[in-house]
Amino acid sequence: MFYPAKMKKICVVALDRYRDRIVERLHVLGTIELLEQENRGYEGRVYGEKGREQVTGLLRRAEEVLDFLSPFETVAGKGSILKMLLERPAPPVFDSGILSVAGGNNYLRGLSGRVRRLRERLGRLESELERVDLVLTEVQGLLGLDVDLSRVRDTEHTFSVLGRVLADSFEELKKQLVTFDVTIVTDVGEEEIPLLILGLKKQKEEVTKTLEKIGFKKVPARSLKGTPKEITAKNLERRTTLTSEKNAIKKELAKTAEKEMQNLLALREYLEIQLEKYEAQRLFSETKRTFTIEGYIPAKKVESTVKELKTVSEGHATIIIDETGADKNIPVHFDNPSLIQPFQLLTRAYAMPKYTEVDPTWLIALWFPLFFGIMLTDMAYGIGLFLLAWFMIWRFESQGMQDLGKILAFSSIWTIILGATFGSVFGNFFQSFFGISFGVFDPLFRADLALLFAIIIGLIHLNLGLALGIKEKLRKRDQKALVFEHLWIVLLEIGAGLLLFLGRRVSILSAILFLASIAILLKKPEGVGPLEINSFFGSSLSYARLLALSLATTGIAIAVNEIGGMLLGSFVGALFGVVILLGGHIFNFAINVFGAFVHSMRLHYVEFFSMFYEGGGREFSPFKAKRRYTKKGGN
Amino acid sequence: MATDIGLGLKIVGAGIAIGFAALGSGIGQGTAAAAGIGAVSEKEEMMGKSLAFATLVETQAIYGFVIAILILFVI
Amino acid sequence: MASLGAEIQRIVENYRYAYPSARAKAMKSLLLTKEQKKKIAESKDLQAALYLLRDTVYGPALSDAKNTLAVEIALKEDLAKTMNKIGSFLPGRAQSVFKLYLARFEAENIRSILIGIQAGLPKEERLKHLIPIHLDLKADSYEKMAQSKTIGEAASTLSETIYQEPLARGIAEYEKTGLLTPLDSALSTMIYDRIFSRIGTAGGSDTTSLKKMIGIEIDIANIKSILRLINASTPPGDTLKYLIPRGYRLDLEKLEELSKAASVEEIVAKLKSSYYGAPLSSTYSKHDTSKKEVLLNALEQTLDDFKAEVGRSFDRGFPLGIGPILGYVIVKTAEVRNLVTVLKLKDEGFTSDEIEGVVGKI
Repeated sequence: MFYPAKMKKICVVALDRYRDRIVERLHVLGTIELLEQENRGYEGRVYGEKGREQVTGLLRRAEEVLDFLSPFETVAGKGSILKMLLERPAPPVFDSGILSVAGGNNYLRGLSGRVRRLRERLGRLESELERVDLVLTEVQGLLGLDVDLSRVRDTEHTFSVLGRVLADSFEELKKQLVTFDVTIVTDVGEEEIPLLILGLKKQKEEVTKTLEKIGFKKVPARSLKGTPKEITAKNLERRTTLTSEKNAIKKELAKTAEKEMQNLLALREYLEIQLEKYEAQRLFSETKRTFTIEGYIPAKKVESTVKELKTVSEGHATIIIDETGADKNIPVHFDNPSLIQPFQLLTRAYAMPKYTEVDPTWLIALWFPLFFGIMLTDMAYGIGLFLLAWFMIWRFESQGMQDLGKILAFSSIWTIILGATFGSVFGNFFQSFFGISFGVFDPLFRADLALLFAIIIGLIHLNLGLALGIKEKLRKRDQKALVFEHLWIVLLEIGAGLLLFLGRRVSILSAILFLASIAILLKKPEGVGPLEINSFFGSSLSYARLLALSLATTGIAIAVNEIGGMLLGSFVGALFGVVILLGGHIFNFAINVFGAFVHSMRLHYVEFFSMFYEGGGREFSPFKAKRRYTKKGGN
Repeated sequence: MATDIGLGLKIVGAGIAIGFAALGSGIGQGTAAAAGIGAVSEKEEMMGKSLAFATLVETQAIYGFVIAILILFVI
Repeated sequence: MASLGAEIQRIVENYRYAYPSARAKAMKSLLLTKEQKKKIAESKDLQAALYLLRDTVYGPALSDAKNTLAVEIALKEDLAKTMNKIGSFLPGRAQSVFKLYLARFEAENIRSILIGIQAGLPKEERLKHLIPIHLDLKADSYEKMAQSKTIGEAASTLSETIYQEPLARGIAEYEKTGLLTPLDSALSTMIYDRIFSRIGTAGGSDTTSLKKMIGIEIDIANIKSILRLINASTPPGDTLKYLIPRGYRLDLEKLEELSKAASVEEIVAKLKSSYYGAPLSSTYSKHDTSKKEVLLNALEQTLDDFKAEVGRSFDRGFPLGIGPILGYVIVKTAEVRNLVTVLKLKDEGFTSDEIEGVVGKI
């Protein structure tokens, strides 16, 4: 609990015959972090290459199907946001028969062919729809022309052009074309006027140039048959058919997605796990008939792991357990009772401890909820927070959310206790509306007292860190760090304490202590010298935020109550008043829960940790199957 | 209503103390938070440290707050 | 008070870079460590090296790459994507400069097709080296270009793009000399011109840094061109024509002086007192001057290393400005280029010592 788990080195040597069973068992146990070995030995031997290739190929196919089906999955999912939020994720349901290379192969063979066919059909339909839409937009401007477009062709001596021109330029166009032998077929139009121009081929170039100048927009004469109206009607009809066909396919895809998604996800996970097992074997060293696994293992897991390995190898594996020595790369594994495990989240968010360092998790577990509670100090908000925490634990599966929920639950207890102590329920709600007040004293009107209280808590917290730092330095026999990092603070504090409690009588002694403290800082090789006193002073004052945030919570709550209360006089006013009370308290709750969390965290990370904690270890990452979609047996 | 100029000045002084301190710390916090978000979007594990750095700047506001309280209650 | 004013101005000027520079710094921390690079250079073969890269920031990009060509393309695509990503979160002018900068990848694609045509390779071969990024040119533009029979025809397929003018200019020179350098330089000049006109004359520390980065890049490209051209005994007038204007430390006058040099030795001597002098001289003195190709490669590598060194120095100064971003871009580019070289050499079976001989500090 006070230090990270002790680690050992493990080395397993066994015959290839037991290889698959041992690897499988280790993957299930998840107690060993594999180490890459130098001199991996037997050249040219790649174990399980064929199996790996099979799995990789299958995985790629499964992913292909998944990629294509997953966009259709949301279409199948029904229900409102509220329902989504309130519904716990169902345990995975999948066909366990497909979870083998042969089974997966069989399953994918049918499915991927079917999905590919649907996909191709969908693609064809979409491109045809695009073509239809293109024709429709092109013909749209020509609707008034009652001409069969298949006749718009160049002949031996004539040419024809189809297009549109802005209504304003139409007269100009007619004027310009007078000099040529052309026939203009046209129709009225509001903004643009459709045109069919027939002329002599020898004048084609000049006519085209003239048209371009005026801003004539040519419509390419595709091989369309019928008048623009007929074409439009035909294509509209075609579009309806195509769209309904497309929707049918989409529906089928959605149905397939709904039915197969869980299976596909399960299969993919299974294949990934298999692949991981193959990949891990790159780290083994090999001889012709044996293999060697090396890794780190938490000392507590040695016995059970060795026993399991002996069983699966029928006693034919040689297992050597060794001390880790002064290796710098030893992974760090938390070793905490389950009650404080959630707080590992906060330790990890700063930095994993080094292997030889204290694990501050238990201290965070002790102090964090208290700080959080002080900063929120409201019974009603505390109850709200407890409910929120309970919901998070109930609804979400991920480790992070579970941990966060538990941290908030612990914090809510302090919030309620302190809220009750200082008589704060939705701020001054009961006092303001019912005239009921309780609590030891109101921090809002005795902020000086509360400030003192906050700083004292801060000094206790800081000195706890200081004591721990001193203990650690003594343990490591690091006198230099002891003097330069801790001793000067001790001298300073004793000096200040003497001055504070005994007064002038000891002022000379105090002065000597202060001077000694400054002398140490002047000698300190790195850092900013005596200015560090300033930063220590800043650290202690920083705990004033405990009070600041709790006052902010109360202050905003009082403001909300006041505004709400003012409106409660009339019926319409009461409606607004209730909305303001509700909205205001929810808002206040939200920002102050966030604020309390962040600031409690910060007091630990910045002020507390600077006294003793560095971090920078590498987290233990065992060879272990991570299951989400294949958790329980399935059906 | 009592017209105590001394009290009025105290309140104005407290307001100035917290107001300017919060202004400066707000500007600083904006920059620090922006940088923090930048770092977190590339390295998620920076989340904790970024939050701590963003609130680091708030210490100045806290000093302002402490001074304000001292003005109002102690002096 | 004056210094306080300056300080406030600097903060105001740079506050928009707080987010992007922190992000760039985080990205920088994900670059390969010395240890990782050493392990890669020492790995058994290409596959082993790729396995080591699996857990790095290059892992996802390289997951499907099995041979050196695929690796090279994947890494360059990754680089282009990184640049694009950085561009997307930069503020204002810097963002548009980055978008323009991406054209370098497109220019590289055009170049690789042209080389393919010049070498008379079949169409598929010409398209094999393309980095899949699409700005002005789409897949079918490349396709059309690769179908051309001559370089001139290929250039004409780009007649409606920004590349038309530089290609026309470059190809005229190419037909005269048979060298691709003028073509490269014409393309680069166009890209840099666009960038400089976008940067404009605006002041501020961010534009200064941008100009410095691009200027150093131009200088180094110019020195490389001069080295190659002098080695190929190009007449000084032509050499000058193939250089890119608006460098950081080498102005036209200096370039003219350099282009009149008769040998590699003379160039190194003439550059001795310049910004780039020290590393060049030291590499030159360490190498056997009779092995021309080896020497030129070493000098080019020195210049690239120097650029990366400058990139690292961009970090110093105001920590929340544009400096760390540009620094990251330079260092990342250098890392990708070195990584490509190392992996290629690895595939050809070079030992780690030999690789170190080529790439210098890996």
